[in-house]
Amino acid sequence: MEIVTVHKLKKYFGKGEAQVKALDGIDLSIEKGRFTAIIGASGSGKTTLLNMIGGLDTPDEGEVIVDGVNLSGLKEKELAVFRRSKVGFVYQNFNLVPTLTVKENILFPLSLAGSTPDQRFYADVMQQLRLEDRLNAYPHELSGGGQQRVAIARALMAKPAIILADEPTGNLDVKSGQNVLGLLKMSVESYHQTLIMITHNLEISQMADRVLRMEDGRLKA
Amino acid sequence: MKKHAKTLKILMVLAAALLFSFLCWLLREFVPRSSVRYSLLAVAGGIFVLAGLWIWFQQTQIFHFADEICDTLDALISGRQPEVERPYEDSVTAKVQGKLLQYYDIMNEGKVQSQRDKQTIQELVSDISHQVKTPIANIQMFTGILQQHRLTEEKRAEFLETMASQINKLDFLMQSLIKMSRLETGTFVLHIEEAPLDKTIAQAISTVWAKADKKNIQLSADCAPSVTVQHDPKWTAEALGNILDNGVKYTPEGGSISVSVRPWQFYTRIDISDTGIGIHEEHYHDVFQRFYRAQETAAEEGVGLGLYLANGIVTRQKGYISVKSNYGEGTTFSVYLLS
Repeated sequence: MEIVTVHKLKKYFGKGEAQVKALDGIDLSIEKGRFTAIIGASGSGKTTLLNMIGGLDTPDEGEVIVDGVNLSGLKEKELAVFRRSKVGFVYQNFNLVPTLTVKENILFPLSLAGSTPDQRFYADVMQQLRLEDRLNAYPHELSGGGQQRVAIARALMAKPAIILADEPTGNLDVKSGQNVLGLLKMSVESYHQTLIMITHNLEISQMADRVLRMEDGRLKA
Repeated sequence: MKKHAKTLKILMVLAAALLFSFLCWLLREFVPRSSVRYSLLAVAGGIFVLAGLWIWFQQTQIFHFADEICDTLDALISGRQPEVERPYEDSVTAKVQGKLLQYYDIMNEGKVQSQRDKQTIQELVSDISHQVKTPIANIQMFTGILQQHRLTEEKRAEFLETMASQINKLDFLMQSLIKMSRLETGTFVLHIEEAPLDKTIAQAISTVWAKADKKNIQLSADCAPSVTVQHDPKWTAEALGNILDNGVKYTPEGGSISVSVRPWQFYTRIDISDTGIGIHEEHYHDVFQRFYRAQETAAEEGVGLGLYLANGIVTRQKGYISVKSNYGEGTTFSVYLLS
């Protein structure tokens, strides 16, 4: 079953001579529960594509359908609800709130939606990501790998339909990168999550079920 | 529960009547001017009516909510995709509908999974028959020759030996296929325990020792006896053995293979490095696929299951494998197991 379908997606930046084709006609469908890696040089359009799928950016042409809903038909307010209920984001620079504790950071998106966590699921995620004994720490007290684990837990908490990760190990050394990646893959598998991850590291992409290569705004077979 | 609701209703009506008569009494006793008296009464009555209207409005809202949820449920029961008008509206209805759909998807997952399993089994059967065909054809041919022709003792021995090697190949193939089908259908049981890793590695190395010796390949391992990881020793040894076997196969004579262990924060990393032919970067992902064989490996015997099995076994234990290779210089497989 497809969770994400992308049709003839185009996005241009700039005008006239200086126009850049960030996305130049992308057709793509991603199956539920799979781990897809998108690789490509910087500037090849990976992040733009990911932002479109996550409803953070709107295309110039084409459409994005996530979980049966065409994103172009949604109003700004609905897009916000879509993002917080269907998408979990994991960024290169973690994007944690520095003044909140680990626990508060993880539950933050849920509290925005006015819901409370499923206690058993919460405990399970904490255990999987080895965060149980750091719950009251602040982000700056954790290592980079630790902070990224918090970000992963935050992304998982709302049980989204897809998890989008943009270079999640980009700011980590090889060792903690591999540690975090292993835990990410493991938790994604045990919760049957769909993961789309951007990386430029081929070593990392081999853990994926499917590898997509991007070049100049196009997908290469 | 229903009886309680009824008594509560009667009590409420009685209390309202009581309050109202109390109000009337207050007005008559303490408000001498009749115009003020009637205005106050009207205001109180107005508030009463408004409250009633408000309750009525709330009730229709609840009925409407229940209707929509029931519609969604009806659609799900009959297996239709429910028509949710604005799925991401910030409303209670959309929220509950979203959760219902999520629940349905999870339940549906089992159905989809069993369909997928069926397809896998079909593919497996066709793969198996394809792999088994060649050795069987060979054996049939040689049996035919042996039966129909009078041959010298020498020739007979030669043909019998060829047949024996084909039978061995079949045996090996069957063993791998059985392991694979158990892996695919999830019927194999892992006994994961906190066990010393050096024993597992030693077990894995012992399976390739003779082969490596024959090719004059140096085998070395470096693992502190104190390192323990969460794993199934028997199957993990099998997985590591498969990677080692691959290393021995694709390392030229006189090369070396080394195993090293590094305990990390959450994972213990086992590196298996050889000085073999290497793997092209674009095939890193392919080597773990079922029946994948690179062009360079055509000369060696094998069916392309070793790494696939190794990957399956390690993934089942919540670990993972990665490759790094310099083409023509050697390959390092890293196995990560939970510490």
